[in-house]
Parts: sequence; structure tokens; C-alpha cells
Amino acid sequence: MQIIISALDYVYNWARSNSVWPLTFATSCCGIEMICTSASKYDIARFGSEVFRPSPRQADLIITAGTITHKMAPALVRLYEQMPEPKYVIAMGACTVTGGMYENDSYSVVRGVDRLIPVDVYLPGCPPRPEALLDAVIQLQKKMRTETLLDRKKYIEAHKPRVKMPEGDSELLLPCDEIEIVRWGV
Amino acid sequence: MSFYEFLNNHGIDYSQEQEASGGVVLSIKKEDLLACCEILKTDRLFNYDMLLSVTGMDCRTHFEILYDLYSTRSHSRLSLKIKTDRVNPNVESLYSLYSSADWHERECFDLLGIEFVNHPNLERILLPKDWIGHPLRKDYNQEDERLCWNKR
Amino acid sequence: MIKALIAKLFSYFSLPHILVGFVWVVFKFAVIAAIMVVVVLMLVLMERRVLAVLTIRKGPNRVGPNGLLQTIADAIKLLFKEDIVPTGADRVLFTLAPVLFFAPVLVVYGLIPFAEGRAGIDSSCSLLLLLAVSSVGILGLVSAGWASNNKYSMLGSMRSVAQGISYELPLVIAALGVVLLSGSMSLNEIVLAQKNILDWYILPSGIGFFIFLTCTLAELNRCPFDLPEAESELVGGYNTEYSGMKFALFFLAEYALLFAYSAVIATLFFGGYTSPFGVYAMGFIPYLKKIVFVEQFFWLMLKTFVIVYLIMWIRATLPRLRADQLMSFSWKFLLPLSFLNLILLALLKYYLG
Repeated sequence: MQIIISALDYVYNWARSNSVWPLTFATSCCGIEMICTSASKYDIARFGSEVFRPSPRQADLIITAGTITHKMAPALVRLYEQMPEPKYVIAMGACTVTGGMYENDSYSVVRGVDRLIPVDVYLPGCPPRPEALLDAVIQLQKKMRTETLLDRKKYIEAHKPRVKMPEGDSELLLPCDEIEIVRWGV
Repeated sequence: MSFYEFLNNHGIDYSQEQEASGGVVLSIKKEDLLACCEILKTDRLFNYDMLLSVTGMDCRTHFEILYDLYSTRSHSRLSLKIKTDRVNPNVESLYSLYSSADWHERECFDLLGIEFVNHPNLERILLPKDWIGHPLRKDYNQEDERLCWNKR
Repeated sequence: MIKALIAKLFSYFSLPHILVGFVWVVFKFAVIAAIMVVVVLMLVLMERRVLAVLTIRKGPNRVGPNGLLQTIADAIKLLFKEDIVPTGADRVLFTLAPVLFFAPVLVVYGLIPFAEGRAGIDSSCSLLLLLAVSSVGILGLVSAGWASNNKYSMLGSMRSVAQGISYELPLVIAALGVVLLSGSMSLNEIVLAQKNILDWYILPSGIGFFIFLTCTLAELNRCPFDLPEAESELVGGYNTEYSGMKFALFFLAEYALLFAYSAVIATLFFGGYTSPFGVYAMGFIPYLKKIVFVEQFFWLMLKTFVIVYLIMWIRATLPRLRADQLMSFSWKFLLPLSFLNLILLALLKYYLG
């Protein structure tokens, strides 16, 4: 049984780690670097990830390229929820890792997308260079290869958004009571 | 006919301020704004037919609003400056003259809380609809219980 | 040979003999479907590599030897992905739509003669059947757009229908030119009428080829006519709400249709499975004479892949059209041009025999 599972795991992980289709999601200047990454000099296509899907239904990965504001946050969470399992997140750029230069006293910026959705790979830089994004994709592929089919339920449970969608006329995201937000560093 | 003679003829009170960039900035009274813009827009000689931006400023004692006008005929710029109170700030909307005023005035309302009278759809444009306060005011401090998940 | 084998198996298991013919057809289509899947996997990889080369990139080269297994990885991943059916969607139609889109493509494959006498259905009016069946696929797109309960899907499918219908007319009339020249509606006979490079119908009917190619691009929703999938306007077009295997089926059908149409162009204008030199190299060798269909298959594949490459080249070169330009191009330019082409070919046939 264990052998079958591990063989299946191998195929499954090989397949999905080699075809990570990102969502076309760029909110700020990091988006320009993301475009560069798929253009001729850096060419993310080598890793099979050049298929930038416009619809979240067909994407495996969301690269949050750029500042996420409170106005944008519900859209980001909704896009994340619309993606089919298994789904992954790369927080690209300082703004989405911690809030970046808006961390201190900005009224409108979300201080890191990990307050909204679970992040798999943090990619600092303002903005990160295309090589860095390629590295992040490779790190994500490595992470995918360590997962097994048996843990999938646990994984799905851990990959719920950390905020609730706004209710009624409100446009502000609400904190989720069930999941405790663990913050590292500052 | 010079610019200032023209304004005098129409009975508009103004005082000139020189900007660093050398553009013309005219301070006018809040009540004169709509009439002033109307004659500036319809006059055949000056014909300021385009509103470039509406900018609000918090000067601690009062609010200033800067209107940048542009003439596509003579390719010249003109800025109009008006003052309004801090308590219950309101000014006449320019939407009836320039349709570009719509979003600019909404932005000004959103961030500074200046009310534009007769604006067709004065609601928040940049911030979420149920945001509390106007963040570009100098005395703004963010205290929203709902955003506790975003505390530093 | 295989048919006899099936008949033997049936009598061994004492099954009713009437079913043999039925099973034979199913078997033929199973073979065609297998070929189709393999072709599509190759085609997707080819597209990605060709686009990469044309935009001075490397393209997928990490999976397997030189990236050859890339599309297989994609396919397995799509198999394992969560299959979402939106809450407001019409469940039955939503599931049925990819199948509706896919089935006609399979029939189109059955109609193409891959070698002499080797077509799934060898009908005397197979060209007519092909044109009729290939437009049924639009029904799948409509139901996909409607069942998704999504305005982007709906708009995408509406655009795709409008496009499909308005480009169907010049396409059919351009094909009619070829029918006029060969005097037959059977694809097999059309191929046999152009046995060497001088008989190819592209020479008399060059305008027809241009019209057919343009309309094919529009029918396939490919650049520069990919308005139904315009990402900047319509998210993903009709497949916005599709995920996992259903999306893969759409993807598969699209590329399969691309290959099928290319094969049809090769058949109509470039002599199909016949060799451009009039003779087959295998025909001279005594033992290989029996399997000359292998060489015929090779010639068809060669011609088809050249046209596929041409279509990919067009995708990498041209920007997308505007919706109103698209319609006026079809109705005001291509349709009159196709009529002109038909008249010219008729005159040619009348005076030159």
C-alpha cells in the first residue's frame, strides 16, 4: 500500500511541480518584473510556468505581485478562494511580505498578504529581480515535491483564507476567529 | 485684453499668487468659483475648456482646493485656488461644467471629506465604502476595530 | 485483418454477429481518438516551443528529455486538480458542454483520409459532412457559456457563435471552389485528383486557400481572431468557469480541431496524403509496396504540420482584431472575395477543361 502511495505521489508531484500555472495577477510594480520573467531574457517557460491563466479556475499559483490595499484585499481573497485545490501562493515583493515601505503608518495598505491568505514562498525585494522570482518558483516546486497525497486533507484545511469576506454593504474584510494568526519577526 | 482686465470686467474678486513653476495661480472666493469657471470656459478668447485636476490640501486652519484648468485652444494653463472652512467644508461642484470633475471631486471627498454640492454621485472612490474618517486630514488617526487583523 | 479478428472473437464468445460491424466502427474511432490525444499532446508542446522560438525564448526544456514530457505533466496535473462546478451553474449542461464540443472533433478526424482508403468514414460527400459536423461544435461553446452562469462566459460564447457563423460562409464557398475543380465531394477523390505538385489546387485556387486559412483561424478562435478568449476583456471567454478535467477537454478539443482543420487544408489544397512527386519511394521496393500507406501518412503529417506551423507563426505575429473589424472583414471582404473566387474557378474550369 505504502509503495503504491509513494509511487502515485511521485507521479503526482512530478506532474504538478512541473506545470505550475500562475494566475495573471499584478497590482503594482512587481507586475512589471513578473512580465519580465516571462519575457525572452529570463523566460519562465523553461520551467513550464509560462501559461499565465486569466481565470483563477485554471491556475495553480497566485503570485501576489504588488501592494495589496484594503480595497483590493477582498478581490484577492475571492480570487484565491476561486482557485481549485491544490493552490499555492508566492508573496512577491516587500509590500506583500510585510507591507514594505507602507508598513509604518499607511492607512490603506495590508501589512503582508499572509494576513489574508496562507503564503508558501516569501520573496523579498522592492521589486525582486526576475531571477529571484525564478528562484521562488523553483523553491515552490521543491516544496510541492515534499507533499504527499495522504496529507492532502490536512493541507486543504491549512490553506483556508485567514479573513472572512465582507458581509452586507461593507467592503472591509473581517478577522476570522477560528484561525490564529501567527506572526514571525517584527 | 489682458487676463486680469477680463476678470475685472466680469466683477470677479481675485488675488494673484506666483507659483514656483511660474504658472498663474489665482485665489478667488468660494462663492465665485462656478461663475468664474463658466465665463472662463465659455469665453472665446481664453476658453479654458478642460479641467485637469482637483486637488485638496489640508492647511490646518482651513482647506484649500486647487483647480487646474487647461485651454486646448491656446495651450495655456491656469490654476484657481479657493479656501473653505475646516468645519463642514463644502464647495459648489464643477460637474455641470466639466464632466472630468466627477472622479476628481470624489477623490477629494474621499480623502479630505470636502463636500461638493450638487455632485451627482458623491461617494468614496479609492477607499472601501464603509471606511471611517478621511485619511489625508492632518488630524486623522486610524482607529478602526474591524481592521484589527492588520495591526502592526 | 483486425475486422476478421474481431469477428473470430465474437464467434468464440458466441456473441451476436450483428454487433461486429458496430464494434468495428467503435474500434476505428478508438484508434482515431488515441492518435488524436497523442497528436494534441505533441501539438501543445510544439505550440509552446514554436512561440518560444519566435519570441527568442527557450520554451519548456526542463521536464523529461529536452522538455518533451511537459504536456504530459500538464495533463496529469489537470487530471488531479479539483473539479469546481459553480453554485449558480446548470449542472447537467455544464458537464455536457465539453463533450458537446469534443464529439464533433472526433467525427472530423474520422472523415479525413489519412492514407488511400484509410478514413474512418469513407463517404461520397465527406467534405459536406465535415463542414456540417465541424460547425456543431459551436453548440458546445454556447452551452458552456450559458451553463456557467457567468457574464464573461456568456459574452465569450456569444462572440464565438457570431464569429463562427459569419466565417462559416466564406469557408464553405472557398471549399466549394475545390469541389468545382475536382468534381467530387469525397475527400478521397479530391486528394486523388491532385497527384503531383503541379495539380495541387492551391495553384488555381490561391485566393480560396487564403480565404479558407483565414476562416479556419476564425473558426478555431485563434489569433488574430481570438476575441472569444480575449483575456483583457473577457477573462477566459467561454471556459472561464471550467477547471480541471473539463477544462482539459476544451483544451484538447481546441488543439485537435486545429490539427483537423490543418489536415483539411492540406487535403483540399496541397494534395493530402499523396506525394508531391507523383510517385512513392516505397512503391519501388517490393516488400514495402504493401505498406505504402505509411508513406502516405507521412506526407499528410508533413503537410499538416507545415500548416500548423504557419498558424502558430500567425499567432506570434499578428495582434488581435477589434470586434467590429472582425465582422466587417468577414461580411464585406471575405464573402465577396470568395464569390469572386468561385466565379473565377468556374470560368477556368469551363474554358480550360
